Amino acid sequence: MLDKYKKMAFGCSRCGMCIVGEAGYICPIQQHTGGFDQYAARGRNQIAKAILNGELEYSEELMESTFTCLGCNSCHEQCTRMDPLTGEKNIIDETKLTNALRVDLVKAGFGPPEALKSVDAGVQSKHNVFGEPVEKRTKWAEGLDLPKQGDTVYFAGCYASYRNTKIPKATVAVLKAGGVDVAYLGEDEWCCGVPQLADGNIGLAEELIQHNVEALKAAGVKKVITSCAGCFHALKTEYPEIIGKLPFEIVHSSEVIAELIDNGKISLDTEIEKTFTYHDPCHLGRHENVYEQPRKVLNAVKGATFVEMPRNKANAWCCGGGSVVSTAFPEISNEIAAGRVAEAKGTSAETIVSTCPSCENGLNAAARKSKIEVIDLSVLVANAMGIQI
Amino acid sequence: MKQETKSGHELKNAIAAIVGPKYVIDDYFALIPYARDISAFPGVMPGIVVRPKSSEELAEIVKLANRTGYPITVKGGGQAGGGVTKGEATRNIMVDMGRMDEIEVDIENSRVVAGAGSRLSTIDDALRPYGHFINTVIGPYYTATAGGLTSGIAGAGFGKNVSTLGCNWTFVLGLKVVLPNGDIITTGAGPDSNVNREDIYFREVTGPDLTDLFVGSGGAFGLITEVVYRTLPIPKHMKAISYVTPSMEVTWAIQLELSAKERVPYTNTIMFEMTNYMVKAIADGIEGYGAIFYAVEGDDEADIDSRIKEISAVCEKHGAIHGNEKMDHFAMTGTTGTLEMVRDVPSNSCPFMTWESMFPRSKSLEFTKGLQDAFKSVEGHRENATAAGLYLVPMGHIFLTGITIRSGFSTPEAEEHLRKTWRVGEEYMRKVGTCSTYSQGTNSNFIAESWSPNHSKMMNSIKKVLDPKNIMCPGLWNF
Repeated sequence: MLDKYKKMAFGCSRCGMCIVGEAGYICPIQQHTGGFDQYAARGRNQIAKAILNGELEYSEELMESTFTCLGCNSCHEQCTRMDPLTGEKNIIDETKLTNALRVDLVKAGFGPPEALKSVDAGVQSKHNVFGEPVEKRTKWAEGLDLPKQGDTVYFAGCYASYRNTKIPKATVAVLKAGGVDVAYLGEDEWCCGVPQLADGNIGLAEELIQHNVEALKAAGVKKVITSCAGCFHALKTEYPEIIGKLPFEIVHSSEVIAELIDNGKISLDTEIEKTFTYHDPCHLGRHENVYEQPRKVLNAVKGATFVEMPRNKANAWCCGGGSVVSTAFPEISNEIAAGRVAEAKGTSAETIVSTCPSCENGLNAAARKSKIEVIDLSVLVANAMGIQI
Repeated sequence: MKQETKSGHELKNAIAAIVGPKYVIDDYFALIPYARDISAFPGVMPGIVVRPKSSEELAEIVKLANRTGYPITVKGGGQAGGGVTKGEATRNIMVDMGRMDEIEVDIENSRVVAGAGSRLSTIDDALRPYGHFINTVIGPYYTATAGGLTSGIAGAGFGKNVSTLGCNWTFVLGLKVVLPNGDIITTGAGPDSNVNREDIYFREVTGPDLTDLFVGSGGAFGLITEVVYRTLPIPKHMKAISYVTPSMEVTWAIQLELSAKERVPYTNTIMFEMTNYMVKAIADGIEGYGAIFYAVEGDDEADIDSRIKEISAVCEKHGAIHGNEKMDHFAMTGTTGTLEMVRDVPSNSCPFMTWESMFPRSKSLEFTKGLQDAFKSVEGHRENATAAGLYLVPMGHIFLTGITIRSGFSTPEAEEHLRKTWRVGEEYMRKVGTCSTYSQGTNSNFIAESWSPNHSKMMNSIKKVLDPKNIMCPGLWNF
């Protein structure tokens, strides 16, 4: 698979913009390991080039530096590399190159790390990243009478369905209050495949993608709304790259909520006198360029004060959980999350708002220690509308 | 040839005992990224790479190298364009200075102490809240390090306002250096030239000033671990303008006239040929030979306006035409190494080679034409390389001229072509009395070929005294 990204590996100028950029150091993994080049994009690109040139073979030693990349795309954001012959800009997408390296490593018999094998086994048999019972996925929707078919489907994702059920409940309630009726696939909603796209198990990822697309088609869907940044990125960008153009639109709940506020369909009138800061999930921000809508929503909450963290939008620091690093390397992941929480704490905010259940999960442990709350945007919006979840 | 990954440098445990096991690597695959800089020069595989945190840790590593006879080589931001130091392939202990990145701001005394691994941008970031800056660098603002720039480029590098403030060495108050025997010293008027002095506050020392021994030395006489810079207040206002010239001769006439004025009207300027990829992207079809960009900074807005008028009058007198809005904007950013320069346009490409050299104004036009001819004389340059073209920065009575050549991707053929071109260009430059500005690796070997016998003898004597076992960057300057 690495062959597909030869242009990227051979195009890397080794300049190091993937290590330091506008917001200072930009690679969380480079900063939370020994800091050697193998942990940053320019180093991995040289390793990939050596493999493509036949100077290096896949081996177990390559696993740690290959599987620690968070896929946060911070390096892609900073990379100025252009194809001088065609003028094409930003030609190096390190997340794709690293994922290809992972696929080839796994094919060569190295990896994925044990913890990820166990995740994949759970996904294979139970269709969720926790390997928990299939029927548990739909518990949050009990009593909501959501139809299985409709123009608009809400895609909850594993983290929201199994770990933080306030998020799907709040999202559906807010949408309903705004006049958006959603259908729900129920047990036919499987893991979106983001973990498998990142852990080298491309076969399983394709299986999940095929299933979800067929299920969505069968539901007669025209628009998919998800409150998970990871699912959003997978559905919107990764799916079409793997199986071609989709016959439905994908939107993130923050985009829909911002539109409902703009159109006067909902108003956030219940006063919340708190100071909030916003954590940009990598999959929503750098991968999909959705920065303004969540901020628009936050600024619409009556009584609330919104403050930015020093590293925000395209320069935002990853929560540490990207590309299955939280599962494979929890210590590194927790250190990165603690750094992000400390940054939020430094703004005087009382609450970190996110738009990704996985980020929320990653930030929570450090946040509890630092006595700062983490909340999903949809839950905050529900509170601001006086909706009881 | 496929090579299995392997580990096992003899000093791994000993080095790990100094810096901690997390900060030392010797796996074959992990060493690959350390084999090359950004140039097309062939790589040199180190035997082990270490990331020390302090001068003291580095000193212990150097002492260990002395005891065991393993060579030391060094990497800052990895931005070197002159090739990596040879040392002894697969034996070298490469020191990655990235962890030595502490920055201590002392605004009261208009100075900043920067660890050698500090990036120029991070030093500016630390100074900005105080309204100060350092005369950092135009190009690799985010990637070059204080140590790498001071040690690896003529004059400690070409700063943001190089046209009027000159090279960075003017603003280097002093250095902390680990010598080849493992001793740690300070240069300038530091604690070593007066044991009762706390730190380096000024450059002027009563006695020999050792700072310049290490500036542009490439690390042959010692490894710079800290640079103390004088800081400058950020000017309150800045305006910019661009002009398009019809010919090389007109360009030179304009720049010669402006740079010779008693009060040089611009703060910074750079000229690119219109063929340059950065200019093409903003010129929107404007045709001409060269695009000259001017930035004028100061605290008095009326004075800035009058300077802009003065620049315009000279340009228009020689037949240049005012550029477009995008070009004026680029003049604001591209001449000063700010964000847009390195983000909106690529800072370099791979593989690439840049010749930058300083030449007296009087014959600089002939020199530059000769350099271009040398470049074009290399067989197959049209097929193998995309010429990014010429650029020019007047620095008082010196012109800094450079030609960047690059190919699309790092194929072996393209890299070989660039290496050939480099040699031809370097030979031409030395023949006319200058050289490229990189005090690094392969380029240092070319430059040392032009040393006079006396200069060579003196340099070798200094090297022998400081580094009798030749463990510090062997191969640099042909030592």
